Amino acid sequence: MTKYALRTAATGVLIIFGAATLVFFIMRLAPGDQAIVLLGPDATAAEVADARARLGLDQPLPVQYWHYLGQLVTLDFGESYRFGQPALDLVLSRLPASVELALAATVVAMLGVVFGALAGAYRGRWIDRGISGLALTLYSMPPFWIGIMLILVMALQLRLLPSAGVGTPAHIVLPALTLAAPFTALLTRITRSSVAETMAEPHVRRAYAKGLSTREVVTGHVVRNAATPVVTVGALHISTLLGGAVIVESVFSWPGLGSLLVTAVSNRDYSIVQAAVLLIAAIVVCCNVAADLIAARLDPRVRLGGAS
Amino acid sequence: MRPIRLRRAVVLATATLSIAGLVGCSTTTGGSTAGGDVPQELVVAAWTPIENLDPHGASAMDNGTQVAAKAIYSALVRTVGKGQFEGVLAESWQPNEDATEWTFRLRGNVTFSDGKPVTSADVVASFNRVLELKGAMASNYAGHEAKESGADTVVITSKDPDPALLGKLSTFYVTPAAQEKWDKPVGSGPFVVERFTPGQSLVLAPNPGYWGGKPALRRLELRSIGETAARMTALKTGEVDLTWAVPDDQLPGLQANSDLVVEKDQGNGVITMWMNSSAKGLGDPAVRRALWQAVDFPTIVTSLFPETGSVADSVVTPNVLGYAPQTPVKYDQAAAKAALDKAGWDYDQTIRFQFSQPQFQQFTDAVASDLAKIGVKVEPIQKESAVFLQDLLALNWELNIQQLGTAGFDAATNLGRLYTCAAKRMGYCNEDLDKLLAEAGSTSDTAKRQELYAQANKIIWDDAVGMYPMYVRTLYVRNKSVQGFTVPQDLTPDFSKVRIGGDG
Amino acid sequence: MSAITVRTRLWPVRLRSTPAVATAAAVVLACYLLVGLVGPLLIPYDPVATSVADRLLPIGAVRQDGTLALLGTDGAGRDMLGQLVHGARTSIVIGVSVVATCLAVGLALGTLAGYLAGWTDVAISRLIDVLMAFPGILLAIVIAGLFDQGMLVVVLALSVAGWVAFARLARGLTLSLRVRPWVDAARLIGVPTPVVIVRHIIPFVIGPVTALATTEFAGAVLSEAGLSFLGLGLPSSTVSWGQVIANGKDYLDTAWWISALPGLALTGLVVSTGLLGDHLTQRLGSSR
Repeated sequence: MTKYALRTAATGVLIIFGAATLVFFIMRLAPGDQAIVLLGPDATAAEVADARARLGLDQPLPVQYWHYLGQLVTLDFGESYRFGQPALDLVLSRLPASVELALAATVVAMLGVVFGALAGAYRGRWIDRGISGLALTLYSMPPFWIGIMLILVMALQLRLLPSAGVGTPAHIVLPALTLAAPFTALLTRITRSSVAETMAEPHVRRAYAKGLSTREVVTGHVVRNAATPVVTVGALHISTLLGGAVIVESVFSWPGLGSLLVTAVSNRDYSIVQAAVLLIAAIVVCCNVAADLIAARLDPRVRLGGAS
Repeated sequence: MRPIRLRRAVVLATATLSIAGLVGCSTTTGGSTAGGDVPQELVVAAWTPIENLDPHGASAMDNGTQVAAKAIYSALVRTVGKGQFEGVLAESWQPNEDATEWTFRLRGNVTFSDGKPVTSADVVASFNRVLELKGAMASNYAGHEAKESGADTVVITSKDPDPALLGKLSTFYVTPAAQEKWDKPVGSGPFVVERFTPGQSLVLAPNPGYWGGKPALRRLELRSIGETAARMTALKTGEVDLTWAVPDDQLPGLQANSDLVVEKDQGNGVITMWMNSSAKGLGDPAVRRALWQAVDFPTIVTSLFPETGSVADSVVTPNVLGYAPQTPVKYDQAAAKAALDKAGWDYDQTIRFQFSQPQFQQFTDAVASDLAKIGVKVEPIQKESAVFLQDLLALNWELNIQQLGTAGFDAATNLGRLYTCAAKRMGYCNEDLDKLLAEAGSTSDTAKRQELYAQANKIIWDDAVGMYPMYVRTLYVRNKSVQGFTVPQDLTPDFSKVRIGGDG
Repeated sequence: MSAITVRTRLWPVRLRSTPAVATAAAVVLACYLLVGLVGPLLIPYDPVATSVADRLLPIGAVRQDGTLALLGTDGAGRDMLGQLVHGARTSIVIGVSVVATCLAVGLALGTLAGYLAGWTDVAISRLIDVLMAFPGILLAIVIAGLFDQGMLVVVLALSVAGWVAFARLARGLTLSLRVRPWVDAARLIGVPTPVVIVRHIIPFVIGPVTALATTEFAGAVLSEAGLSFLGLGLPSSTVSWGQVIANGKDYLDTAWWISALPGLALTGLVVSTGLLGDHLTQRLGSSR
């Protein structure tokens, strides 16, 4: 177990370091830098050069990278030049909204597990056909399209729910549904195939042979065994839910990490982009470890510290 | 419109926002009393996010920050019309003969929201802060210096004559010299900050000690809703009461709602399409005129911007000092083609047409379409703001489109700044024009400046330095319960006189 | 014994997917391909030729010059039918290019990692982990936002993270294949590593990977739409469905057809790809 912990920690640090390096170089190699955005169209060449020097952008890339790594170790991401606040504070201040939305979407997506189990248990039946077809259609629609349609119907026509922003619990309903849509479909499909596979295993056949009903078989023998892939895939998609909710955040003006990141990229606000990407990477690493642990509890066949 | 909106959208365009103008074109119907039992709460949807409340730093020229600044702080002066100003913190002002030294006398009775008086030391500290932070606003004041002369007098000097200083100062806000908390700043404006979530929402409460009288609103929320569709929906459902920068195409959907009132400002934005005179083939004014002539701008303008657009007849709008009407460029493809043939235009050459803001998409497509009809190849290229800006300055384009405003309604901030040889903004250099602009920039005689800028206007128009197809106005849509609202001329509304009535 | 026979009926007997559905999906897909290939030749559409006087015409309206706009026009007065047909080509080309790129890169790195093991495996696996820690769409946004618009950038942006899924699958399969007797034998008689991989590993990996490709194709088409929605997609000179949907989103209550039609077309394409993919997964795929 200690070996597993050490190994996991080392891998996690490596992943976060890799993400930090990747984001640093992508941002620096891109055209259009901070100094130009900062000064606007009226600055003279001398002013731009001066600003570049102040921001440290005139130094060679390796020097900048070294400096950046030094800051990383102390978790100092510097100040956002646009917001005038420490980048990490800003990113952390957006995190609750993102987490809230991701959790709400996860709760909705749990429906996928229920439907998927149903479909898997009755594979080939009409209920399976219906659920699978629905899941596939849901998965095939562009998420922003679903969001816009929900606004059109629920907010504009029926006036049941607010269209955008935050505040009351009602505000989270539409963005959560939109974000959950493809995720629900995915969980449905995975649960279905996982359950269907488990249904074909000898111990389930034996359970049937003992005269148990399908419901008893499923709850007693299938769910636990079928859960492993569901948990794994679910954890893998946490990053999508957290940082990748950009489009949903944009449709509903939801003040999460994703929208902060997109504006930061467009403003070349390097410190925010770096802090946000690192935070997301760290969360993903934690989620993956959690998924490993849960999978090991659920299914004794999964051994920790195996092939990564 | 597409959602990634560059908050510099207008700023980049207007370079410096023209300010204030409390003499609006269309004032609202003023009910005499604010309904006593109607909650005095106003929710406004800002179309660019408010990211920062610091009126001196990197975001100082953003529309979001400017709107917030007008509510929280006070400026020295504000524009009330063509070359006319009104004192805010300044009671009176006086330039010297060659406009290199301006003396401002402050009102004596103004205090910050923390009770301390506004002194000349605060003005000087704020001015120095702008210079030190070296943000987008600092380039307005290259070679300027502010000094206090007693507790109520400030002297601003500049190396070169600056007759347009007042226009620039209308976006300069005074904060206490000892300001520390920029997320909950102290100011002397009509409102004080209650809660600020960057990029999301700014909640304001009235400032009881406001020198202009305590505002009627009990609560004012500026909510950032970037996505156009979401902003319109929120307006229709009543979640927000007021917004602006409403696209023409959204109007049919809004007008169906009888609770909404649509107004527009006079506007001083001009769609400006510079042609890069230093690029191959475009150095010849005859070619540039021919290209301009080949596009059916009247049809494009009336089809795409029926509400906000009108065909332009000058490089600056009629409400700007320096405006002079020019001979319209008549749409005539045959003549254009003949002129291009004569000038030896290379029809294999592709004109790179760069733009950044999504609302230009259809416009650029339409221009490209018209030019294609006479065999001129145009490729519209949408660029991300940072890249657009970099390429703009590097003259890495043949045709460029942006919306240019004229800060302070004074051509000095537009013609005088952009069209000199030294500015190198569109590869155009004309010594006669340079002389005119230099002369106009060094006199404080308004009539003479008008005359000189009118001449400059004519040279720029006749030489077709760019195409100047359209004047832009901005649509404001509000719930009819919002009363006392005056449409601003500079995209930064003033909420100090707004109140909520029972109905319109 | 009787219990078992009775229960058999309740049992999920029909484990294989119905060929009928797969056939139908294949036919629909073929239609899309046909439209994408041949349609542009039959229905002319010039993205440059706008006609602002004919903008936002509804389905079946007549233009100023008397021609019929069968499916209406968009905000710049361009024909919707033309956009749908030409957009089919773009979407398919993008989908195929992205999948081809990802498949090539993923297959190569995945089999290499699995076969060579050791440091190669560690390096590639960690690279995969790093990319997995990035939300895919985010990486695409960063890349697409940083460079000039264009087909190549979109393909690149979507491929940078897309190959990971292929690599993981290929690596996993290779790990189990490399200990098989015939691979061992080939190695022992001194067959060079590249030949072993091409001859004895890839043929067994390619099936499941192809099944995955259908899912990834659908994902790529949807992601392109998402990028266009954020204003980071293709320039207006290249029509794609995602772009048309995005262009129409401000006209939903006045000109719904702009977004609705390409949205339906897109959903149809992705659904039929998905159905076919399910079928392929059962025929060729590993369990996962």
